[in-house]
Amino acid sequence: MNIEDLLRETFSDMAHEEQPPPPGRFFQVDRSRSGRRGLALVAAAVTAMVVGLTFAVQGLPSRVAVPKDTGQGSGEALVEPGQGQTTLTVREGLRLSQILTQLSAATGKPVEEFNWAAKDGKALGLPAYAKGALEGFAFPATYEVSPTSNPDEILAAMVTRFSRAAEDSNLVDGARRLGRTPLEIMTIASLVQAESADKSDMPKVARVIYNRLNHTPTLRLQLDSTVLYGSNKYGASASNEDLKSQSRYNTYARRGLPPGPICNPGQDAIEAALKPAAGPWLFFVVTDRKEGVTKFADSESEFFKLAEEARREA
Amino acid sequence: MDPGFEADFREFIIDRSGALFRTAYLLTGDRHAAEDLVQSALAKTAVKWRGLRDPAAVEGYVRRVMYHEQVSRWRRRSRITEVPTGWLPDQIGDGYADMVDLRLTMRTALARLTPRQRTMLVLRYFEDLSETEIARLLGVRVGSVRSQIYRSLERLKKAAPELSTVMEFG
Repeated sequence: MNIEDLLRETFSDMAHEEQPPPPGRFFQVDRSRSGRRGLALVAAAVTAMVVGLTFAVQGLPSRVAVPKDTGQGSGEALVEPGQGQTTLTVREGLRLSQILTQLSAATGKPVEEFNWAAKDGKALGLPAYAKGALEGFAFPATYEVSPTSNPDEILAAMVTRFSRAAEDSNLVDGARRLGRTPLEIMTIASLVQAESADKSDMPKVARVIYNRLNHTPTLRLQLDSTVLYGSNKYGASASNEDLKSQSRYNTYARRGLPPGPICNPGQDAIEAALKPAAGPWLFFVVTDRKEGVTKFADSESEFFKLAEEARREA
Repeated sequence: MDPGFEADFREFIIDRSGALFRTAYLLTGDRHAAEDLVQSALAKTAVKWRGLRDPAAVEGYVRRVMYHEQVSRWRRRSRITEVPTGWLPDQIGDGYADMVDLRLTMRTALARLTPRQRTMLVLRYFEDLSETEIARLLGVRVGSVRSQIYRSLERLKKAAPELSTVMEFG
């Protein structure tokens, strides 16, 4: 291989690692330069589109009534309309895009405004180790929002809440003790959050991830949750086509951790990433999805038995 | 405003913004900068739209604005911001890991080139344009494109001495 071919491959790799933003992103006026004539024209050209978007978001029913009996771990955001205040519970393990959609519904502001605000990592007060990306650092908790709160205020509050959680778990020191960066720990915590059917499994799931990373030779993580994130899909298992994707989140194809968190983990998952259980496991299988039973194995033959068990249950 | 313009321009953005973004990402090495670059090029194109009825001409125009803006960036800001890749594979020994290492080295080296050099490399090796086409697009002489590309490749080779080992196995 010569330098020119290598360059071609590097470019082609890079071109596929970042998903282009939705075209609607370019219908937005660049606020910092909106005085310029050209930008004003772009804005004018697409007013109809943006107006349509705003209307749709305000039409969402979530500002009016959302079931109140949603406990922790349920799929819905808990929204209680109060006196101009709305209480919004963001549950653990959501992707940033899901959280932004919920915030948009709770405040009645277009999701585009949240997408915008989410990009300005510095203004949000993200720690340097987050490298400007909010995914993983929008901490799941209950927040009070009002229709007048700005998207950047709400997101900054979530980051502040994260910083407190990070202090509570001693994230930076704990990461150093494990020989990892805080971002790697948060990435592991997000995997633990996404892969654990039950809170009690978290320390063991974390152990499996470390054991695979530290194994000689390194074992690819092979976690479907990361592949699905890379393909912007949801579900329990990735399709064969997804497994072939070039995404940096494809842990079937690439070694080591994905480049960053795949969801926003809660305190339990962060704790598990910092204090994994002791054990030799290299595999885990959800053998009973309905009951949320996860079993662990330290050899391939055991793993195949568990996989077979899971197949029978399903 | 011409209603046909609105619809056409919106359709153009929906169709082509993904491809424009990918090129912009290679030019800048940064997601946010890439979005800004596409946004700004689209805005400048909107002004010219009336004279650009042919859809192929529109994309050409947007791209030219992008290249020019990126190339002139070095005068305002001397450094390209590259988001570093957080993780480096520590396991060396199979061909795959070597390749990953090498590509990371390449990216670091690319980030050290000037925006003009980097733009020329993207046009040559990603967009597959000829040196003549690149010269025409950027408004410089062919000889200048040739020497800049040659110099950039030399710098990349120097930055990645491992390349010679991989070349032996490759």
